[in-house]
Amino acid sequence: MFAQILFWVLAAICIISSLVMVGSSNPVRSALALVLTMLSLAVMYITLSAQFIAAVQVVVYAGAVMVLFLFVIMLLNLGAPALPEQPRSMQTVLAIALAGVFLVGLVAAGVFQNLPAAPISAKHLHGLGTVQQIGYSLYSPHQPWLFPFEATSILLLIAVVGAIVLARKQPAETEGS
Amino acid sequence: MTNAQSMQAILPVITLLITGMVVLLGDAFLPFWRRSGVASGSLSLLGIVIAAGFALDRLSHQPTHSLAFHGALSLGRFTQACTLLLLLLAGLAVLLAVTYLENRRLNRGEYYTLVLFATSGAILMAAANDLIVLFIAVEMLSVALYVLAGFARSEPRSEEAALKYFLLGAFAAGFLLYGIALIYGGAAISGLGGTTNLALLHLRQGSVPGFMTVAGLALVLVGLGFKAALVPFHMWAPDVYEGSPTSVTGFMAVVVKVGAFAALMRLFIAFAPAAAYWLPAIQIIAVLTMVTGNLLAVTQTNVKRMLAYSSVAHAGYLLIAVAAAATPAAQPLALQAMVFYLAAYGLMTLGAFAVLAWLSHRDADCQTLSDLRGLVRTDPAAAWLMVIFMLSLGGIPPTMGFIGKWYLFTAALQSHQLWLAITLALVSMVAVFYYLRVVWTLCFEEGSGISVSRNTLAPAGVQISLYVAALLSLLGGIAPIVWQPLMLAARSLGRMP
Repeated sequence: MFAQILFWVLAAICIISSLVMVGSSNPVRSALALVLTMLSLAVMYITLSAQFIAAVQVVVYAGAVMVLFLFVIMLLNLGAPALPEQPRSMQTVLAIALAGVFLVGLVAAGVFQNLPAAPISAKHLHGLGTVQQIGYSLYSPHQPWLFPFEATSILLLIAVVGAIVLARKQPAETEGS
Repeated sequence: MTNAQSMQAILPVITLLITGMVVLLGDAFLPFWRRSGVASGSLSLLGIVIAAGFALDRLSHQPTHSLAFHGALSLGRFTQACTLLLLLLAGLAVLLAVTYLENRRLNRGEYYTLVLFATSGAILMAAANDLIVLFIAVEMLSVALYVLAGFARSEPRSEEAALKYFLLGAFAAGFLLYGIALIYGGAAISGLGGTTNLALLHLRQGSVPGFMTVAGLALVLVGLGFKAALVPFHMWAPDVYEGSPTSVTGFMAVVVKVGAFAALMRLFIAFAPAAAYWLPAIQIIAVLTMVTGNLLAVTQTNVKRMLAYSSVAHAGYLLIAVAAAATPAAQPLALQAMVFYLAAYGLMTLGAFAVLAWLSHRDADCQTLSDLRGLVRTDPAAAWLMVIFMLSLGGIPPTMGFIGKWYLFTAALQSHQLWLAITLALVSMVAVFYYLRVVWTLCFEEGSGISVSRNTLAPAGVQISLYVAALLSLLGGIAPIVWQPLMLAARSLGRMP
């Protein structure tokens, strides 16, 4: 019962704050609304006893990524931009129509395709999302996850090299080759 | 395989990665390395050759069990065939890049590092037996390519290409990941335990998949279709191909296709029992891709854009092989046809871009049809090579492109998809028009194209790359038997435990 009430409250916060994020014309307000969305999602993860993902959600998304967003917004000094009030364009209509179709599709799928509302109860999941369990899965030599975990390090190396290639000063001009 | 055996089996990838890191460090810390201009390129080439040696060695032994790292990778003979093909194409791309980059003053070690990392990503895409590994491999390939597309930083067009590719690529990655999550959920709901392992999904697959599995499959198709430039998801291709430095475009056009189609093939063969649910989508996308790609290519006057649309069209042809693999009886032929066509497409396309790279020099990047006007008089060698590649792309006998189309045609017939075969034949005729227009411009049009006062700093690389590509694709047309070992190896995914 308590979990039910918590879910509805969190869902309401999540939806309202994401609507604020899309609708607000002030970028800082948008970013802060996004933080709220991320945090309410993190709490939802905890109610599903996925502690590790909840912690990562807070640290990475609500923390690091959002700080980056705010830095960029503040560095570029974006206030509320005086956007010219556009007449409702074709794009808006199309976007709303597509979103509607998607919503109907999702609801229809839930109703007609017998998607189970909650296939596994939270009790079953207890212990599945803890840091300990995830550590076992990631580093155990008898699980397939060790390889993708190591491959991720190469992916990160590529990203670092790429960022430096794209961001550093061009040496070609100064060397005078 | 135990983990130790698995490590041994992915030695090609490990070799590429280590070579990439050595190139990166050498370029950063050794002054003579950077001054020499060819050190990074030659070392990368050496790494690729050693990796190919490991892959050949592995191909010559018939492995009894192909799943490595407890099911993360499938390293059977199909994977080794794709690995060899990718290494061949990467080697040619490195050779061609040395000259082009030196001429454009872009010759830096990071280029080769990123090429090597991207190649290992593509190899892992072909090897991935687990959808999570597939996702990481796709990202390894893509992130390296986003950076390579923007490697010519002083040019706004290159930056535009990188940004466009990055934004759309990140969007597509979202589809891929969402699809993987749905497939996992679909497997969990059907009471068989959630898994993203393709071999397990295949074993547990009934002929009626759940709603979530179908939705997940559709989203994964969108994600991979973006990488392979299939038609509703091809919008990025012309701009990115045109804006990227020519050596990058050549590499990107061929390596991504090999990786993406190997992955598509593996995915859809795993879901082959449920073919009724995905085959119509593949057929429709294949027809759309073939028709749209060819029709849009007709109107282009920029050769790079034309080749971009032509690569879209070729993706449509390759999708026929995926559709044919839905019929179990036609599977070996479909796999074989796909690998052969990928080899043909890779050599011809890389060759065509290599000619453009060869003709470009410090001040001018050769890319429009008017640059090629009357080239046969000013630079006969380049012109004739271009003619070979264009005829091959058009599928005119006796070139490799013709044999490749023939294999695809037979695969479609064997799986009783007559109208796919007919579409292939019809659009091929449209394709001949725009390829022959390039030949016409080269040989019969008056006027002066790009000046051929070539920078003679290191022309050897691009020439070797060109001649090897032309030789292999002609040989593939006249005596397809030279590709026989690769095709025999590709006949089966060989992974069902």
